[in-house]
Amino acid sequence: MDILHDFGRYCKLLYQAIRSSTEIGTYYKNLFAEMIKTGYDSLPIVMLAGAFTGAVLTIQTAYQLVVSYIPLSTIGAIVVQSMVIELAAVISGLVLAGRVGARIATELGTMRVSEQIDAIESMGFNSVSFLVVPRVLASFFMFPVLYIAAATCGILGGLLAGIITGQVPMADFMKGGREYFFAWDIVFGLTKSIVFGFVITSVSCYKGYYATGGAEGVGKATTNAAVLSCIYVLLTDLLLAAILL
Amino acid sequence: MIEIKNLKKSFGSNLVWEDVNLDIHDGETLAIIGKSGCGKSVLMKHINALLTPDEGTVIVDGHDIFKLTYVDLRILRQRFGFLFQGAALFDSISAYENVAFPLRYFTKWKEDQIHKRVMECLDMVNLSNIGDKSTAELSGGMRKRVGLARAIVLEPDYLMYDEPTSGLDPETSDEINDLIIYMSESLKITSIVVTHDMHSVLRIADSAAFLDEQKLSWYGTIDELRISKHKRLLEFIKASEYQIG
Amino acid sequence: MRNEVKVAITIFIAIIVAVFGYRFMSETPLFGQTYQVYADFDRVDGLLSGTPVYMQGIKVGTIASMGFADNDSIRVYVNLNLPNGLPADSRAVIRSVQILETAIVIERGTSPERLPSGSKIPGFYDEGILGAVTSLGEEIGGNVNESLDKLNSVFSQVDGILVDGGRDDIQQTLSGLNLTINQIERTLAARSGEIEEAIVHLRNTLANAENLTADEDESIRNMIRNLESASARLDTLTGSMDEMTGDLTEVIRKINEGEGSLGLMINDPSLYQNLDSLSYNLNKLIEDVNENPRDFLKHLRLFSVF
Repeated sequence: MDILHDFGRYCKLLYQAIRSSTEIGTYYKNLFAEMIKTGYDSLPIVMLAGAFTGAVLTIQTAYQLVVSYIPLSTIGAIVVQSMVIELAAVISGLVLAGRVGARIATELGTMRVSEQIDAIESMGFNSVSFLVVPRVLASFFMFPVLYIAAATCGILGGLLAGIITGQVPMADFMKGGREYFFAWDIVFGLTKSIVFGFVITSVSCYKGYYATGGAEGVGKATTNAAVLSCIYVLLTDLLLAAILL
Repeated sequence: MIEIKNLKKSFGSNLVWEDVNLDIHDGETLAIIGKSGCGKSVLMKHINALLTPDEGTVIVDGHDIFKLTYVDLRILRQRFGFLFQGAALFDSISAYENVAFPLRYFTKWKEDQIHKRVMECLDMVNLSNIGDKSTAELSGGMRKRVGLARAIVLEPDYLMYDEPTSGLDPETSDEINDLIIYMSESLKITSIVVTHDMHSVLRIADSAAFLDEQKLSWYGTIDELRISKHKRLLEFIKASEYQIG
Repeated sequence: MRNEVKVAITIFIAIIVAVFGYRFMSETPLFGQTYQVYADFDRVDGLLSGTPVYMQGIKVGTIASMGFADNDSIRVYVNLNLPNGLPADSRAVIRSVQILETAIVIERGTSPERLPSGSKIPGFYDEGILGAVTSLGEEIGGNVNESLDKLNSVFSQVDGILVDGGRDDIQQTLSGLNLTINQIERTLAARSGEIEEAIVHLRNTLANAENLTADEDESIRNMIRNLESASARLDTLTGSMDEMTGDLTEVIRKINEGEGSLGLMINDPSLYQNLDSLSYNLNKLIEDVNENPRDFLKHLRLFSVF
């Protein structure tokens, strides 16, 4: 019952958000502030995560592929394709579930328990369009940007790791990478990143928006938002792979 | 004129109150009194539809507020000023911007007009020199006064105070009480005050409603209150006088 | 800086990185238009989009995309990095450029006229030297195996005759048998030279195949010719083996008909010696066929593993 109740309220919040997404004047300012906080401010951590994932992937694949007749270019193919299809979106999704999800849940939760959301409503604002819409919409624009950053850094990181450790020369890496570099994979990765962004921000908004019970309630909402975002990122990842691949 | 009719509210299986009937006439100051947790704030949040009742309705100037569309409801809410218990100032913007906030969205005023009105309201609450202080730098009394300035900035017809003197020293409480009297007398605003501070009730209110035992237990003017023989009310008054005294 | 400006710059940079990254990874020029041509093929085994395209031995581009055309052939688009464009009479050929790798090789035409981007060039599927060698090898191997099977059955029948004691009149057939054996020996003498010759040819062919590079068209053709003649010789060999088998069958028929006797056969050492030398010759033949063609077949196997 609780699950149904939660799901119902979540859908209602989404419905309200969609309905109030026309009130651009209300959320215009917040939208750009959120795009900065979600996208611009998250760039360093996402790029770092991407680069290290790519580097580790190269080194580990080189370590695992000990059979001599498998060409070195295979490593490039594995790193590039894994980054583009899966890792750039999922790693940045998981990092941002913590970073963005927790921030959103804390912000909205604090506003809820300190009656700021009531204050917004009582002034005659639509609190959903004021708070939820810009956050979800910002992710729609910024998550693809973060995906591009993560994928680029991941491929560069993998390439650099191969060169520095001397295990994969640049020519081999690029040859393999190019051979398995398909436009559809990028479309798939971008789709994933947008869906992850939506899942993370909407779940976190829901958790924060309906937080109850003072500071402890905010803490609970934050934890729940981060954990649930991670779980839903992984679940939708599986779902999208099943549907789109 | 606000008419509260047959209102009933429960959270889950917990009944808050039922059978609440109350008329609030234009220009009067009504105090809603009762013990902590008896649902005073909950009742007040029904008056501008921040909460929805299980049964009954609230009619404001002839409009059933729970049957209004969301757009109409928000227009109606602009006629209410609401001072929340913790003032509910937005902590991301300065005190000045908090007061200017409704003006920026609901009027098409120029910056100098906005400035003029904001300074007017801050003058009224004796905070003309507050400048660009952030909300975190303000004391409890100052926060309440900024909240009050924000509540009156759109020149509302109704002002609602949620525990305006709680957590303040007696001197600051008196200042707030003076402000409430000033608002209702000079601006002819109808006020609804939720409080358990009998001292301030006797100073500011024209009439009082006593919530007890999950219903509206007693209702009358302040003069009637002074001579009332209602047992539970007398106990409540005595307890709070002892607290003050 | 205002938020809008920051956001706009971030998104703008991301789009630039994405576009340039994509063009870099798919090896289309970073700036300007791509030079793209397409060709239709019946089959495109081993090709992927991104597979390199060669011309005159160097890489000039990659396969952009592949898909079915209207006429059931496979349409392959290739992006080329040719500043001067492609001569109008150029052809695209799918062939193996290394032992394990097939690719599109553009045979540059001589026409002074240049093809505009997006035009069609004729496409051919070249089965390649690998395919030719493999199929020929399979054929030869089949023939040799068949002959060996026949020889084996002859031997088991001869064995059967020697063990069986029911033939009395072998003596009378000995002159005929002698004659037959002489005939077989002559055949073998005449043919063993040819077998050896065939083997030598095959060895040369193999050596040629190892030296071969994709662009040496002439030596490919030579080699195919050699292989073809080798195969023809092996065919003749098989034919004469068939003949020989027929002769042996005749011998056995006569023995089976009971001409002469076992005692006489045993008493006459010349018959035994003749039989002995027959079996010696047959052994030698099998040895020859076994030893040298096996090497050849082994090589063929090595190819077909991949």
